[in-house]
Amino acid sequence: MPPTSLKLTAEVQDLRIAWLAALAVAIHVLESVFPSPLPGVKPGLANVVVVMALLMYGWRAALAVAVLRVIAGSLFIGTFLSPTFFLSLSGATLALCTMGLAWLIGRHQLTAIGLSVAAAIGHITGQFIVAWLLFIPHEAIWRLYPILVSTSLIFGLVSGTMAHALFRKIKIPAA
Amino acid sequence: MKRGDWMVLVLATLFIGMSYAHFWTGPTPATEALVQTGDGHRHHLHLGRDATLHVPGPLGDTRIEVHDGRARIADSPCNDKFCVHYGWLDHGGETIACLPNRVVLQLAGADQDYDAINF
Repeated sequence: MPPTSLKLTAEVQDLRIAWLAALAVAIHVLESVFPSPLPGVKPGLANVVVVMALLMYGWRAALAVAVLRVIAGSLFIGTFLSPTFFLSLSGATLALCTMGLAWLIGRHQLTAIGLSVAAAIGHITGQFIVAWLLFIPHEAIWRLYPILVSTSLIFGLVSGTMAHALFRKIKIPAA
Repeated sequence: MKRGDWMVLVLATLFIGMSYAHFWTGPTPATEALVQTGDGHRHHLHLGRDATLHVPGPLGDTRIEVHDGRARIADSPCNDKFCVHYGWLDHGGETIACLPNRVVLQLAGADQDYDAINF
């Protein structure tokens, strides 16, 4: 007789990811409430949590937190599968790629600051590529790119500094 | 901050500088001027060298000047002198046509601002 119910047990690692993702979603939602001084500019503080996940529990945890953040966050704000969602997803994807690349090349030479900056620049670049391919297929959109990539460097430094300070304060439970 | 962080920062700054250079510069300056006259003669002038060229037309000589990578019609025997008042050209594809004296001055460069122009 086939089993009538499927029992899923959450490992410690699953719970950690769930906690971190919940935290990232909360920051994501909070951030979306504040008006932005410039269209397209957002501090991206939720990425602090992703960077922390990477530093504490490794690459897979960071990936899980980032993807959960995008999906669950958009469900909360009500932008799931809207253009905003795809911009958010593409940003998170490329941010993970650039941050992962930096991590792969020099994880022992990096702190949260470098990782955050790499992620921030990847994030805005991913958004631009998708915005250009899907929503505004005109070369002129790239005229805006230098400004936004500059601000992303600044915000990457800010959130990186925050993550770095946090990381030094936190006692990390063994993975 | 460790060494890798500085590396990331330097790379990021370089990348941003490149993005400004790439997306915020206009069309590349022209490199060559082409002069055509009504009798079918064509003259090529390199914009890197200052030069003055007199080309004959039905009304007389049109004087074309190349200076500092730009070109203009400096003097013309035509009545209205639109061609002279147009001033300096410095981008690929820019054109001055002096119809009365049958002289066309056109710049060419790495990219052309226009594919074709009809008068």
